[in-house]
Amino acid sequence: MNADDQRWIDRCLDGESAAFGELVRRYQDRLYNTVYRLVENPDDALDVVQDAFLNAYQSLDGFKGDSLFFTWLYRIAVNTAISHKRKQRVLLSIDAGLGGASSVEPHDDSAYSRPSESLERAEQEQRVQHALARLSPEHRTVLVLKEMEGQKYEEIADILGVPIGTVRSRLHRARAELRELLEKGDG
Amino acid sequence: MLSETCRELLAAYVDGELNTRQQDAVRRLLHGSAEAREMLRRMQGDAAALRQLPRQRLDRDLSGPVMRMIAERGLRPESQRHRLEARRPNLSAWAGFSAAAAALLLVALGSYLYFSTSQENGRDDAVVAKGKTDLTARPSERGKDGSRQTSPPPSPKKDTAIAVAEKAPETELVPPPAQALAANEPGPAKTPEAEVLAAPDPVAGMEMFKVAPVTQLQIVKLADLDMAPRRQQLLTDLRKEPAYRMESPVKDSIRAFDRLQSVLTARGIGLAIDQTAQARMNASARLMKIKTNFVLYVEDVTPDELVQLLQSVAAEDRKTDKTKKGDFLIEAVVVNAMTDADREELCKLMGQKGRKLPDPPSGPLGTDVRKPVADKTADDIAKSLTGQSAMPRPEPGKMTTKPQERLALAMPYNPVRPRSDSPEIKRFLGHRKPPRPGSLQVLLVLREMSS
Repeated sequence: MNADDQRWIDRCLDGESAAFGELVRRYQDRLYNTVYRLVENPDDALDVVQDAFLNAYQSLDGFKGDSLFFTWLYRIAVNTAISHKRKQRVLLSIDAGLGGASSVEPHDDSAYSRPSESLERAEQEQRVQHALARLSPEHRTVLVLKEMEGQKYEEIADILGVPIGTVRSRLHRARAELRELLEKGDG
Repeated sequence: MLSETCRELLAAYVDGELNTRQQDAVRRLLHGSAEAREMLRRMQGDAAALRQLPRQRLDRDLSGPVMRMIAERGLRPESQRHRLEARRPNLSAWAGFSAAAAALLLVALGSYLYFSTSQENGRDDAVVAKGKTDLTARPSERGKDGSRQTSPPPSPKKDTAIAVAEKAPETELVPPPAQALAANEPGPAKTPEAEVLAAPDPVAGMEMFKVAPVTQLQIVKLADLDMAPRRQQLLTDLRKEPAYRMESPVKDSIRAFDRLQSVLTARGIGLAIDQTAQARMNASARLMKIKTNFVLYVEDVTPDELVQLLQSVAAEDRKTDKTKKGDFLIEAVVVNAMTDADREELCKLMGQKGRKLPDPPSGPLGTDVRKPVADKTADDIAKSLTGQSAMPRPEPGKMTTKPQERLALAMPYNPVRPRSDSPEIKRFLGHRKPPRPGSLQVLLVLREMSS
């Protein structure tokens, strides 16, 4: 447990609510980056991060210091993001059922006719991001936490509240699914 | 074709999460399999592509907006909120807002549980619905010519089973058995049990134990209690208060109740089931698929015992789920500290005034040593001690009777409630013992989802 974090938390619990602002400033960027990859939309990501901070503030007394404050914060943010994504998925499927527009953007073939290196990299990023977006929230979350945040299996298990074996198998299935999507060109 | 284990091993190799022995195994695999080498190459490529995705940065400082929202909504960390509420018992404006949010949360949880099991139940319903006609409505819904009638709404002034029986059920029901039909028809032969059965499904006007403010952190999915961290967290939380109200939205409260009963009995906790509750879960009630909201009250249970009970419920659910997919009866509970309002409603349901149950007898094993022993009992004891009693004297070191067990009390609260002279409630009250230090009072509300 970071002693600095603990000091801010203690001050906050003692009634100095402004101390929480320091914790927000300290972790907002890391949290936003993860959440953005989970919800795929900057506005939604902002909402989720704000909600996560508000939830964390209210539950601050429940933080026992058994893990890093950021791990605990992650847990709240990831749960909020997954729940947000699930709700959104329901709405999207209702839209699709009503003949609404597809949630996946149409593939732009014209991009391949301009073989500059930066464009290729941008395309590759787009394909990977789209493939990532098509994974289930559970699979996407483990991949983001592992590859983009560099978390260990043990830390991911702690964040998600699942056994390490589950993290291992989810990651394996997530990788296989991602590969399949990239090969099919669904990304 | 690589086996699943080999692929999983390769994925863990990419993640750098293998021990030395496993790494050696992967190297051997890579040495002998071109397919494994190709798969590893792709996995590493995908991992690198993910890592190369640009990091997203916020273009603003969120601390200002977050602190403003905290101030506007009057939010406080839990400990501060508890202290403040202790000083100010009146409900503040946010309490109403959070109660509404909590209600929505509970409805969402209920809907999730409902739809997750609806496929299975849909099959049951399809079987039951064979040959179902408009004549399947309950007798209380129809006129003499068999046509469906619109019944008047329930009177809030009447607080008995008969009073609420006036409201017509909103859904069609399967045909009740002949004897149940007879019992529900107008006439002098109507028994109290038939009156109880004639009550409709739960109605909004009779709801009790209103949803208190909750956060998503207080929803406990019972299957998760197999994980030590989650279990420990719940134990820690349960040690904070002396009394808790738990509630679970259930698809079938009678079957959920059965499950609880078997788990409680297996752990040495007997059940006093109020006779009105018994009537609402007898064979006819089950055939008619009537719905009832029940409440179960137990005290002198330690946090460890409570968590074990919940784990047992999950284990039983899992067993059934193996044979009948989606048959989780109690999938999750919402845990809240018991409020004064809860206590008051519990007392009311048990025919007691105020918000505190009478103190249990203070002597050992529930015997009040201040009360004089009845003359006959004194004679029996004297005879027994002198070897003249019909009952043999206990042998040293052997128990002659079953140890005193704890009792839980089960009552219905919507659409029927216990009678004021319920012998089961009296039995429960007479059976109470002084609680052990650190033990809890627990109120478990089983609320039918459709109510």
